[in-house]
Amino acid sequence: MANINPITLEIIRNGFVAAADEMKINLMRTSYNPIIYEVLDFSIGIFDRNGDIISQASGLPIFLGNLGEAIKTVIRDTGMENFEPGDLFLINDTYTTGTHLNDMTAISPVFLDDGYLMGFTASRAHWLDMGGKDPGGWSSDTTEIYQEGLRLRSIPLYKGGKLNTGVMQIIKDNVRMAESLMGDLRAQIAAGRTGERRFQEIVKKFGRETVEAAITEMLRQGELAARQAIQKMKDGVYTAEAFLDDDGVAVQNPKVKVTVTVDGDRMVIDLTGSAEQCVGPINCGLAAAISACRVAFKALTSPFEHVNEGHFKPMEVVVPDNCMFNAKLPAPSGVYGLPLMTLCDVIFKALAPALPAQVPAAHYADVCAVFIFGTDPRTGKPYLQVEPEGGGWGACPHRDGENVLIAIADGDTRNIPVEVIESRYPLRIERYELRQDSGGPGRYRGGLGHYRDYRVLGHNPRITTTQERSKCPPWGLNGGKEAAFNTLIINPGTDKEKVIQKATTFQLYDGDLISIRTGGGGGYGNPLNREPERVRQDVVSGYVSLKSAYEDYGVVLDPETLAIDMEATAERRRLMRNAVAG
Amino acid sequence: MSTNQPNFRVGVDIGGTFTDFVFIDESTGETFLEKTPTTPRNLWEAIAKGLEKGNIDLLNVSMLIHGTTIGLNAFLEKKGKKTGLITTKGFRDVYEIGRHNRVDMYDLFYKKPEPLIPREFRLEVAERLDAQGNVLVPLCEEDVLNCIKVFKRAGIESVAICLLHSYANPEHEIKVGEILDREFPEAAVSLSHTLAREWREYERTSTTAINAYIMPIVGSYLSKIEEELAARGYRRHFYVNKSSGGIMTVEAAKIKPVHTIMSGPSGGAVSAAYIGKVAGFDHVISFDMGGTSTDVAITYDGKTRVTVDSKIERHPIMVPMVDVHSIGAGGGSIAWLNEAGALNVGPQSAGAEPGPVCYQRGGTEPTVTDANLVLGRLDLNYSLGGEITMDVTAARQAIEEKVAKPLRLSVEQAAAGIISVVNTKMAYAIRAITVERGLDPKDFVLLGFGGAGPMHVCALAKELGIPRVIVPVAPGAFSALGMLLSDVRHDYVRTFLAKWDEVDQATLEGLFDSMMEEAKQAMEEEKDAYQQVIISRSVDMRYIGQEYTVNIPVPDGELTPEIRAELRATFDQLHNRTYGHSSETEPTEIINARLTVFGLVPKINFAEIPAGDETPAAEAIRGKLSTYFEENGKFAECPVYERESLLANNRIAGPAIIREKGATTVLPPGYLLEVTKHGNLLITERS
Repeated sequence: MANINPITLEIIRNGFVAAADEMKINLMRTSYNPIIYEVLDFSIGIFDRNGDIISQASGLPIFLGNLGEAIKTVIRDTGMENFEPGDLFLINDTYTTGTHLNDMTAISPVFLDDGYLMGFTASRAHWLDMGGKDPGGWSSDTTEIYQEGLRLRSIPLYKGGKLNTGVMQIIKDNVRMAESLMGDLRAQIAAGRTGERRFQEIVKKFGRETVEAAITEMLRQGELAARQAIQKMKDGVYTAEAFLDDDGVAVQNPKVKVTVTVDGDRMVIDLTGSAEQCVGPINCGLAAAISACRVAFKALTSPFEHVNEGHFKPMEVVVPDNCMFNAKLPAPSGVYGLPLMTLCDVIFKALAPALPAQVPAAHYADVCAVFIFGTDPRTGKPYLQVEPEGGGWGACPHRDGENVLIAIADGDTRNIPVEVIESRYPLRIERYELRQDSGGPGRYRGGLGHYRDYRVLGHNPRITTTQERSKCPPWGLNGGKEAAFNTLIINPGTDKEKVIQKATTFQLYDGDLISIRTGGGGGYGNPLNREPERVRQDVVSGYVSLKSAYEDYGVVLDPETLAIDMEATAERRRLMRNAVAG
Repeated sequence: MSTNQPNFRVGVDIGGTFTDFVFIDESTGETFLEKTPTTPRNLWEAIAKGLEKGNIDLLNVSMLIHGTTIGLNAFLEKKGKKTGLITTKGFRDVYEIGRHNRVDMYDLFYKKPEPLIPREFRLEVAERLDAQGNVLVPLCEEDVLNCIKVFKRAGIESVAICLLHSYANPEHEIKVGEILDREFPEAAVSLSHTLAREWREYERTSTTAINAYIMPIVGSYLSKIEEELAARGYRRHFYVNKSSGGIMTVEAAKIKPVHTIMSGPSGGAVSAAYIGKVAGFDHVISFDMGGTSTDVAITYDGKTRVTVDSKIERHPIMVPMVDVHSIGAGGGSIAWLNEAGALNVGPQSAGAEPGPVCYQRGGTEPTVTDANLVLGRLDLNYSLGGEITMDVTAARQAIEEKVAKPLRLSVEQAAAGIISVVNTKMAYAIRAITVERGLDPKDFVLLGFGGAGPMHVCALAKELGIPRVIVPVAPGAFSALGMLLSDVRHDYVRTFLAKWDEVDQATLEGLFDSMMEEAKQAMEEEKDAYQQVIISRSVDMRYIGQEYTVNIPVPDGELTPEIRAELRATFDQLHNRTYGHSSETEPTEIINARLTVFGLVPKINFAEIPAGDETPAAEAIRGKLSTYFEENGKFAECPVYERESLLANNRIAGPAIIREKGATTVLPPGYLLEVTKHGNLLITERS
């Protein structure tokens, strides 16, 4: 290894971080769909010439491992010698990049003045529509990938700076709302150019050798930090499992099982025992499964360090050949993300004994997406509204879980303001409120999910949605209780009430109410050990009802004054403890 | 000092440690400074003392401008008053839910900003508007009365009101405010539409909540100062500095204290723009490096950039603020190695206590200041005007132990490394506000101030390829000077969604008129402060379907098809400059109409300093320092000049050190310094 001055190294590291951040701002500010600019459903990375990640901007963590895999695929398909300055490749192929077809990655090589291929920039953004049988994708009833839309693999949209108009035409002709999607694509292209320029400037300033040495050293340091973190964990073989409701089509209770081996400074995450490849679209490509393991791994080892490939060197992922985490053609994967969020939680659950202070209870583990689409009666034009929903996070070993926070796979993604939605779409939001009692009871209480209620105005739209984990709700840890699960109710409290966990293009009518109720996080520790005063405060705040205070926490409050009846509480708790013991 | 006509403008900037004063004699343009220790228990004491020290009779003061961090501190330290929120039925948790994103995306223990108003005091009233402002459900006054009951019982002192779509129609908010005034007159009231008339309910609620939370504290503080001033015969208006770089009357500040939150850094940016202009530069980057943080901001074409999309400690604030980019790096920033052996500087700071190792006040971790000392850039006997003696041996030891040894570097290499790392951080902060917005740093002059700014400014300029640097007079009290140079400023906005080709002229004019009405009222109260009014109208434009906008100035008069096309072309051009692409054929729309009114405060003609020869007088040299410069890679002897003894036209070739009370300017080899007629140091790279 070339010897690199530690100072120069930091300067170069900061340069790559700044370059990725700049690409992110660029993409966000110039994109056309709320899924990108409000929700921030995209990811940006800068890579070396092997496709190893050097720097990633904050965004969607679940793209952490598979962004590099997309580049490696393009390198394999194209051949190193065939890249030219000004190239831009598109890839959304599930079986190599791991995720669903809506995630479109744009990749550009970065050349130096002397023609040397130094590395790559990549941006992956969620395209609102990729063609396929239903607007927006996310269908939970597909059985082949061909139903899910247009699949591209290593397709050069630009070659040597020249636009391939044929490819452009194919895309335009195969997606819905092509006009705005082309705007998003332009934003991706511009972000790639920005990253390329910054990368070149860094090399120009320090020279190729120094930058290459810096990259090597950054990866080495990343690896070292990860190894040191694993070394602090107790050696052993840890297992845990959970299951999803169904695959949307045929398979009930598909299992997510992990076996984690901690051995000195190495970790193996083995998914053997998880469900076989499913008929319905909850499968993901291997690269996405690895990505989810990386998210969990990073969170446990070095959550605050800028990510690079080195951080993952000490971790190996084993996935059997026939597995929903290793999709093969023509398996569908429209809602590939659902099992991945559960997978992260199962890894945490497995490692809880090894890392007692570092693992929270389970979270709501779905983005509970609701795609609402139809024709806007005011303009006569089609629209599609979707956003990720936040939910409760698990209680931690030392404090309550957070209320309404986005799921583990999603990171820096946001909701859309009510005022923006009502200006754009023929919908009215009637409440956006914390969901009382949805957090798992515990010595530390799980975070709450929310109610978000949409009223349909003057038209008859359809919805596609997934609300997972109703049969295996978010679990507690160390005696903490499970939380309320994700669900959606149409017209609650009326005779037209209908509970939905999964639906594809479900027909709604003018005036219908869609009530999204996201789940909470699991509790931590025995709820009977929660200080009565904190329970009282939760009731005052309305996070917990009087009934739950009594039934789950054994705390007796005066219904009028909310004063604690200490004697009655002690007695109630004694009885509850005995009931458990007996 | 007594004349018939009040002719002194006074700026008072209360900081955590010192209260800075700037006095300007409007008739001569002479500026002088005072500094008194801040008296936290009774801030007035420090003000009184400073006025006394300056020998200023309040009867001679034409205008007193105050910059205060009292609102900011109440917010940061969570010492505001008990506050309640009234909002639309169904939405009391908007404020707690926020945007639900996790910025630290791998942190399993991520926490959102803690709401300033707990859930039990976030109450709802039945009422509802649609996005166009039409009333769907009339306001239930009974509900408002019930809220008041709860608030009174709980001892709430301040109430924030934020109703859905109030930016489109404030009628219901106004009515709630009237009921509060009538039934609960002792409470402070903040109406969201008066602070930010823009959509995005969470951001608007957060802004209103912060305003309400700090309002009683800022209000009583300002009233106290007003009383003390009045008791001493001050009869003129008393102004407060705003985050947007303008000033407002004390009455306005009491009602909208959220506008004062970033008044300190904005003062620095305004000063920088002004001094830059005086020196003949329209593009200025201000670089304010203090003990714990560094603030950078830009002025382009003479205009200091202002944003309405800021956050403080993750709490969004939707009022105009000078677009200050802050990073946690300053003279007191600590250098440390992480587990993998990578060198980091900051964001932890040794602060004023215990301070850098060399101050010998118990600091044990090496800081940027320690590195500068080891490199011979600080005059041992003169730091902080000689008030502190410094221990270079202790600084060396700390750097050796904590940085040099583990990295197998010499102490000097390690010290130079600490400086490089911190300079790089600051360079990227400047990149973030220039290059990322399509601006080339080479077109700017870099103005360095704050306690540590003059020491780093040349190295930073080199890093960024900026050819010219200015170190202004009194770099340590530069933000206070900005207050005296600020104009009266009011910003108004109306959300108005319309296709650009189809914008109805009458509707748009109506919006501008209504904003102008508001402006006129506000300006009436301030009329003795300014001489001339400038109105700037603009719209926020974007390609249809995009969310983020580019602000486009709109001329007065009719919006003819030609003018529409012209503005449209301006938009394409700015979009291209900012983001690297544009599309001339795509339709655009506007979402906001904005109006900014400036009341131009009479400008100061700064006094000139005595002129001298090209070669500084021999007495100006007060000693020598052995200083390390990266350019040479070794220590070289370098003269130390006393700034007070420099005269206009003096030239100094680097390497040299220029010391003054509160700051040290480092002039590296290859740089040439020239003293301007106003006493500013203009530094250029020698070709």
